Amino acid sequence: MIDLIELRIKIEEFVKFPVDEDTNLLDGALDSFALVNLLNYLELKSKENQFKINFDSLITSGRLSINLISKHIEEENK
Amino acid sequence: MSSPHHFQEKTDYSQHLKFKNFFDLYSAQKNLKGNFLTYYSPYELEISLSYKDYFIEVEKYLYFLKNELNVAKDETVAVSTGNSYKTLIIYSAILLNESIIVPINTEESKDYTESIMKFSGAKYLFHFNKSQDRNEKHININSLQLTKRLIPTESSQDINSIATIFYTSGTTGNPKGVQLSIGNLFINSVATAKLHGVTEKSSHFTCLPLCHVNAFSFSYLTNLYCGASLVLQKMFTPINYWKIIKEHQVNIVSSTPQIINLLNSDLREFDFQQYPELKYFVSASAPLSSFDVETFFKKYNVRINQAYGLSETVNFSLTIPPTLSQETYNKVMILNSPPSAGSSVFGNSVEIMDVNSSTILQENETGELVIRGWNVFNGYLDNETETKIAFRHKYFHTGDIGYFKIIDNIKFLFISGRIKEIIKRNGQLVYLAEVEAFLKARITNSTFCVVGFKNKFTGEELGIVTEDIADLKTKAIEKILMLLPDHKRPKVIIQSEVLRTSTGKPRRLAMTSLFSDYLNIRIQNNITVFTDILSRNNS
Repeated sequence: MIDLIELRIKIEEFVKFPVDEDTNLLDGALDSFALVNLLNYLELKSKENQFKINFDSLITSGRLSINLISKHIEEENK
Repeated sequence: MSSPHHFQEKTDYSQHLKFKNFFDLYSAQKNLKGNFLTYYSPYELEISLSYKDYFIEVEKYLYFLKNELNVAKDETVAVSTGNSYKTLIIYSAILLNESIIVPINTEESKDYTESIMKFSGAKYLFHFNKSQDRNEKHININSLQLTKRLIPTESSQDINSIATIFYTSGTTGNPKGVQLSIGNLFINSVATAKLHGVTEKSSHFTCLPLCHVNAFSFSYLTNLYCGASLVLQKMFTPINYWKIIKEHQVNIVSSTPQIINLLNSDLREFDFQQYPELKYFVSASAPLSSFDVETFFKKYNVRINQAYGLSETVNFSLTIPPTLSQETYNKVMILNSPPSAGSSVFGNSVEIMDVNSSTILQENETGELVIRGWNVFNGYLDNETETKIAFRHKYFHTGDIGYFKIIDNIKFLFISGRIKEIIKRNGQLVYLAEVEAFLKARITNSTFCVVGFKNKFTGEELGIVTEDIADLKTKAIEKILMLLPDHKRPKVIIQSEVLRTSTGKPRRLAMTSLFSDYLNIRIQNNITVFTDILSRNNS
């Protein structure tokens, strides 16, 4: 549904430094501008590839990582 | 502590106040059934406090202040604890103790914070920074375990008692302490409540810094005064912004052009029908563009009501009336560029004064915005010179240039520029000469000048024009720039001729156009951008 390699490249483009699958993007890595870019990217990808993202439940414990995004998309589209 | 200056003949406004002092407010509100404070830190709901629970926490801090720290009436206490629910508890405890709050931005340097403590005579500093723990005057709020409460029974505080000192940039480099009385604060809360119809059923949302007068007055004190609910977020994040507004049935959102810009660039679909309680956004701290207002309205079907004010006038002196017809709203906020800064709020009058003759001007004539009213402050702390400069011809002089127009029988003010060499970056005033003096004391091998320029994301930014860019492209200069707090740090350095008047004064306005490429670019805080205009033009 979502290409994790492409997602990682995109995120690194937004934050301008390397991240791994478990890096918590909310732990200072992403500022508000980069977060808007990430949300817009996910919104466009969900339309392009016809999968659902529930942005209100994407973050539940103050954490957001590539793995968590991937798991969320899997859960939402079972 | 110097006594308040009464440069204006103020009529008695006490009949408009429900409370005569903070103890009255506490006595009336502590038993309210509703919720006062909900706090997000910023992604998760950290705490929700009813009025009763909130004031129990306030009583604990009151005991600590009075009985353990021995802070007395009219003594000052500095607070640098950022956007946290504890900040609001400390604020209320200080006011209930009849002491004076000195809010300080957590982003300020240690030296700046120390100088503010010295200027204001602050007895203690509340903070959450571990590195400051060694100083016995510094109280780390995260290390406190408070259990004992003090329940006050009376107060001798009157409406002229000084309640807060907000520090703002000064022309000479030293910050100016804006002294606001409890009456100044309360009457502006009354004005705000009247304008926005704030009641015990209202729900207000902000993520703006509590150390600034906007969030202090509009979000904290006005809602407390009215028994309304406040939803506070540690900082802005697009992740749960709309979710919070929906979950807490927010009526009014306090925001800035920077937040509006971010929300406008969010591509996610928005269903305004899920927000039936949301009335409008209020935007202040920097000018909005008509384009931003129109884009926001088309995307979210929600109005932005622009507001204008300064620390010296407590907060808002002007606001777009929320009751405007759509036709009038369009005329003043979308079809007019720039959009109006609003109309005078209750308790103050805003006029346009001719800079040379000091006469009050008529419609469409451009001059300086001057203000008088119940919300206008009592003078700068221990600073007669700056106070005299600010109060002339029976008005407080804002330093902003503008005009007014009567549209559909309402007087709307428009701001077109600034009389002084100051910029407003994310709502914080910065004197260009102050920053230049700081840098020139440390950089002696280069000819340069500090210039302000417009930026869509922060309102205005600072840049440097230099004739010798190589001299500034060094690690040493980078370190010097980093000594300045973020809002005072020049972000763009341009190589070009430094233009001067015949007497040698820098022509800052004439050099602003050199930075036109940076109008729509977000400039990161910790990066300095170097641009060589000469070589760009040559190529």
